Amino acid sequence: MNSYLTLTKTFIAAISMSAPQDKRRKIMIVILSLFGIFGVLLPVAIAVGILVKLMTETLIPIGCESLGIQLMFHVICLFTVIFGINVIFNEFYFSNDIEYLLPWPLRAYQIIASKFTAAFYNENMMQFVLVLSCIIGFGIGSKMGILNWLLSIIGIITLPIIPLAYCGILSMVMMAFTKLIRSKDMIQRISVALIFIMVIALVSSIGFLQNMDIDTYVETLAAGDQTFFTVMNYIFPNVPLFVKTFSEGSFPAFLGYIAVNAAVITIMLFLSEKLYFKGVIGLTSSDSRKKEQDITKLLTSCKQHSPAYSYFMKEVRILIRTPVFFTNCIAINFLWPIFVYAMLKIQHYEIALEKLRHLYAHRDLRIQLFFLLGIVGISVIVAAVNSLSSNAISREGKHFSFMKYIPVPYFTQWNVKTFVGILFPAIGVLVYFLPVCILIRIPIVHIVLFTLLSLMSITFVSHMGIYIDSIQPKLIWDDEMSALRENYNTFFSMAISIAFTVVVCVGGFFLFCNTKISIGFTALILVLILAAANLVVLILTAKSGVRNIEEQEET
Amino acid sequence: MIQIKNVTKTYNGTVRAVDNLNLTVNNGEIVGFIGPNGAGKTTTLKMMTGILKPDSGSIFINDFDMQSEPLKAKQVIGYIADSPDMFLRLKGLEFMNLISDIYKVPTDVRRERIKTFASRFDLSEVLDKPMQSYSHGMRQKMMVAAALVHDPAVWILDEPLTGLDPKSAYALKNMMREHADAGNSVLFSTHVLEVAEKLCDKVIIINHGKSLFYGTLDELTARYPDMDLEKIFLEMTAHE
Repeated sequence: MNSYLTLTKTFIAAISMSAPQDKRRKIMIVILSLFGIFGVLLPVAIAVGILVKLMTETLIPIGCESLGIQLMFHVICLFTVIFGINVIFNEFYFSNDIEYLLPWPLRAYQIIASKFTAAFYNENMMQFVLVLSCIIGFGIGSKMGILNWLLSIIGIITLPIIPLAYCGILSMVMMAFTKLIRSKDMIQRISVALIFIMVIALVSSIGFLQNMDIDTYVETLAAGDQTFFTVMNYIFPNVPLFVKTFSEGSFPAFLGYIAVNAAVITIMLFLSEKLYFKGVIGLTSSDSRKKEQDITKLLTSCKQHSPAYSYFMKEVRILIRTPVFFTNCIAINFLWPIFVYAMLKIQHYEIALEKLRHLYAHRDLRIQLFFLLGIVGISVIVAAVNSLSSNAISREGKHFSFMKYIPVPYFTQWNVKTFVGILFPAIGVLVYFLPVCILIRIPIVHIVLFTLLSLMSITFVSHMGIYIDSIQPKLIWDDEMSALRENYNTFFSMAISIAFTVVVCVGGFFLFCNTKISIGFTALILVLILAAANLVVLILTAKSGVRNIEEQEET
Repeated sequence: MIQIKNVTKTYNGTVRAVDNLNLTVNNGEIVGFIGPNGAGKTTTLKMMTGILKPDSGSIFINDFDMQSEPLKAKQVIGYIADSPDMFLRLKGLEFMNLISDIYKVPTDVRRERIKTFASRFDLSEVLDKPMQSYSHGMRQKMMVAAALVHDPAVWILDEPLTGLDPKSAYALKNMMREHADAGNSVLFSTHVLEVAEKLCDKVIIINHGKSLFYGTLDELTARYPDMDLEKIFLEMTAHE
């Protein structure tokens, strides 16, 4: 038990971000945290709570009031598996501490128990807020009693245990039985490919919702067809037991919930004894074979370039060659059309090229507005989700000192990093958007305007992301995944970007619909807003961004 | 030439890592920086290279003030950090080119220098491999080669011999001597007193951020006539 507690404390300490030392940075972190909580977490929690309340009230007449919250919990568990698998892989197999742990007289289950707890602690924050808001929504909707409220406490914290344990079991089985693949990079690529396949499958399956609305679904449930729940309850048995615990105040369900969690954890720890060392020993970083080189031939590739170009190439090579960065920062820029497709399907939009061409050609204002606001929204979100800029300084990790001792001005290094943060999302957005514009036969002037808006949006997010990261970069991390997932700066940057998108796009929509301004004037307002936003971040960069790097010490 | 004048550095406002330190490394000298763990050696070296900012005092590298002319000062430094695990996703040659570009080394010159280092440190076979696949010693050799590829006048080396095989350590020590003899300055930290004894013109011994001794080895041994360097070091640091 002592080993477990000591190891767990160490792992948790290793993933925590250090607090800034000086007052100015502390104040900025507090402001960003408050914005994150009140600007994003709380509105999301309230929206989820209201949704569950409405679902509960709708389902009360047919006696299935708990199905709404059950659905939400299944979705939360499913997403925990999707996003947790890479975290668990990294925590169990790829963190740098593994090579120190292996020679110690520790049992596999002790290492896995501690690493699992650390990963659970790290991943639990968002789920905690969502589960809590679901229960509050349900509690209000179904007028829950005090005992039920008390019983619900257990699941608020423990609901993600089983999905994360599934990730743990899956990772151990995969690692133990893929003996041929001993390269960390290859395994990381496979695990990330699995996630992408799962996300694409999930999003694509949303297409089936096209012909379904809430009334018909309630009718289906009332008719007794609960196939979806039957399947999901087998996969996540903790969900129905937990829901029954607090919705009916059932003690047997409460005990069942504890038993099923304990059983899955026991299975994971039992398997760890059989599989963990089998999978973790012998992992290599990459090929180390030497081969004869003709040095003179090799040196012909050496050519002088400017420091900025070389620094840019260094950034790009690291991003492309590090599997975690490649998938989370580069590849993700090219996935947005899948999500747009899913959103359009959910909202029952028919996506026919001919129809769009016709509407645009006939100056349908709604479709023009859709493109105008859409390109800003997509560009901001894509640039924020990839974490390229909000992780740009944290990514340096232990090599942060390199930025400081080389004779390249901080401002140049900053601009190169900003450019990298602009380049990939810009390619990712425009590589799809421009051909679509051409296919729809959008006038060239409009295409130029959309491209300008897209680049202005991405530039804003890139500058803002690096500025946020410069306040308190996460420089101590064990593996690249930790640099991304355990870095609050990526969350702050995303929070601001989402808020910005909502304000600009929703604001623009209402402004256009409720006033008599023309589409051209709306476009002009958007350009001005983006120019002002860029100006603000540029002033911030010039005023204190570079100073943040200058004053940042390594820890 | 390196000049450190009244430099002080405190961490978190409480831990004084370097306390009013003064040091001059003249051209043509190799100076060994000696002290127990946590004495303030790495902090001092990091202040000299611009990684850390001193709370007070000033640092001049070849007469360039690190505070007011940092880029000029950094341009003349060759710095080897205490960890060689840097940019491991890059190939050795890519890393050498990155450093060469940063220090603006012309194409022909860099080709010649890379070839020389590759031969001296047995790096030819791995230049085209990602540094991730190198052993610790091989990474350290790559760091040494990269730090010196622009032929800097001032060498600041943090434990440069750690992890090097005997042949490479010998080569580096010879290079340090040649570099100093050519009228340049070398400052390096080490825990190996024998290396300091054989290689250094002067040594500085520090503990708790304060200079305990700075001078030639003859001056040091004259102070403690019946002791070898190891005992002198233990005696000095024990009484601090």
